Amino acid sequence: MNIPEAEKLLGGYATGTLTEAERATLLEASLRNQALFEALADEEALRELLADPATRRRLAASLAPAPKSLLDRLAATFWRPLPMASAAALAAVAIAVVLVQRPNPPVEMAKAPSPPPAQSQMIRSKEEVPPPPAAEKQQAKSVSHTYGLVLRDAKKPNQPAAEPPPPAFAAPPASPVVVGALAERQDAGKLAVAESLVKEKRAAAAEADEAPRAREEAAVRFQWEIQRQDTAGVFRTVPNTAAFRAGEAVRLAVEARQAGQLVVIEQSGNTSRELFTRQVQPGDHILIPPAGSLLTAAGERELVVQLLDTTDQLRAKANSAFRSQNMPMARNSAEPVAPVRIRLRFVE
Amino acid sequence: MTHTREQILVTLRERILAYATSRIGRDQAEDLTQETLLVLEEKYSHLDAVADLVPLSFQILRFKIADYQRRGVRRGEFHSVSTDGLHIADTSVDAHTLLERKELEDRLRTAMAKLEGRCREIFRLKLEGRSFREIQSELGAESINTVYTWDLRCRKRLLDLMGGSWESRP
Repeated sequence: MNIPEAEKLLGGYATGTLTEAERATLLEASLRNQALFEALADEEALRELLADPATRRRLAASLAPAPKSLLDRLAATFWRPLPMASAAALAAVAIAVVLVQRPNPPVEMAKAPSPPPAQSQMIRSKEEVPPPPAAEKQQAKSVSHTYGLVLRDAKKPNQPAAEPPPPAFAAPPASPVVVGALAERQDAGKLAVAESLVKEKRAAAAEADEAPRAREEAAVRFQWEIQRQDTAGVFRTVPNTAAFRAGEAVRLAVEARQAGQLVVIEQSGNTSRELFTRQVQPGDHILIPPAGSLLTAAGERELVVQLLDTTDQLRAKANSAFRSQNMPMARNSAEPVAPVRIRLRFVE
Repeated sequence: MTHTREQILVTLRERILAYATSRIGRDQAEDLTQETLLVLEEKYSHLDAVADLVPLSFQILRFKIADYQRRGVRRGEFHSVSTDGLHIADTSVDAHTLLERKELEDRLRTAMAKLEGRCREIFRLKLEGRSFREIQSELGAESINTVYTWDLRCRKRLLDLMGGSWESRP
């Protein structure tokens, strides 16, 4: 095998993919070609890493295709020729049925001339369109189950879409002016709903952006909640923004999601004290303090919670060793995941 | 082609010296090559096949270069007496090595996540321990040479994603 052909085997060296014959060919070729020898020598770190079965498993798992969601599977099924043809045929039949059974449009409603007084009266009552009949209410209700999101928005006060849909067909014959006004109102309603949806989406996106990155990263490692003792003596979870009365019994509950060292520090003004430091395992439930309550004198204090994983600890260990020897920091000397800061406010 | 052990070591010396020179400079490369061959001579004198000696030389070379680079970074330790020969037992975990491995794994995982389609599949199958022949039948390639070519391209792509080197350079 010549050098370019042997080069093609390079990728199989570190992963141990080569057969004995392929391996021998590659190594023989490396003795004849300096570039190939150097490429193999550079591959040594990778080979060493991949020699560890656990590492291989982790990396292979990270490459495994993600399980498809139900929607994806449905879409995949749908986009095949047969289901698509069936769906098209069904749609064509449905359209044909609708066209055949469709009643004549109420053209007279637009054609019928109406006397000026009635016209002005209808225009005046633009702002107070009568509520829809009971049957339509029922219809609207059933539709709201299907399009809950849109109708929920439409129900909001102060929005044009909140008003019930104009009874275009159930109403007595109206003038073209009124019909046009109602159509405009419908369009305006739809526009308002669409705008409110866009606004909501933007607000949600902005909120997501503002959410502290530390909280997101920490959530992967652990979950926490603040618990307050009720009158029956039972600790119950309270919202993170709750304010407490001085003297109330309050504690922090943490559930570890991964192994590491859990550190909890209480900061009050310029003083801080360590409440907890211990190695924890995934699934561990930790109460801080294990018995009793946190310090609940009036004032504000902050709990700083951090779960350092093995990498963080190794990095800290290596950096500390380097510092002691006056050496540069480890290559990847980035700080570990930022801690979660929980603000507690106790009032008199 | 069959080589005697001596022929292999002579060729190896040339290759190691050129490699070490390109990585750490000529002055140190001579010493390092000598040390590598010394280990091969003293500890592995029973081996005489290319398939054994070449991979072994890569391993020794890597350790020697890593050791040299670490020592080189430390201030004032270039001229200190080496404690390598004192055989001091060290049962603790080498945090630096572990950290390097972990960093390499993280970099590898990040780069692999950026791979697409066939490359992703090839690397997954390789990590699962499949041979190229098995990968060929798995991916329905016409010939084994096609798989070799795919793999070479994918390896190059992965190497590019990792910044051109498996190891992060100090």
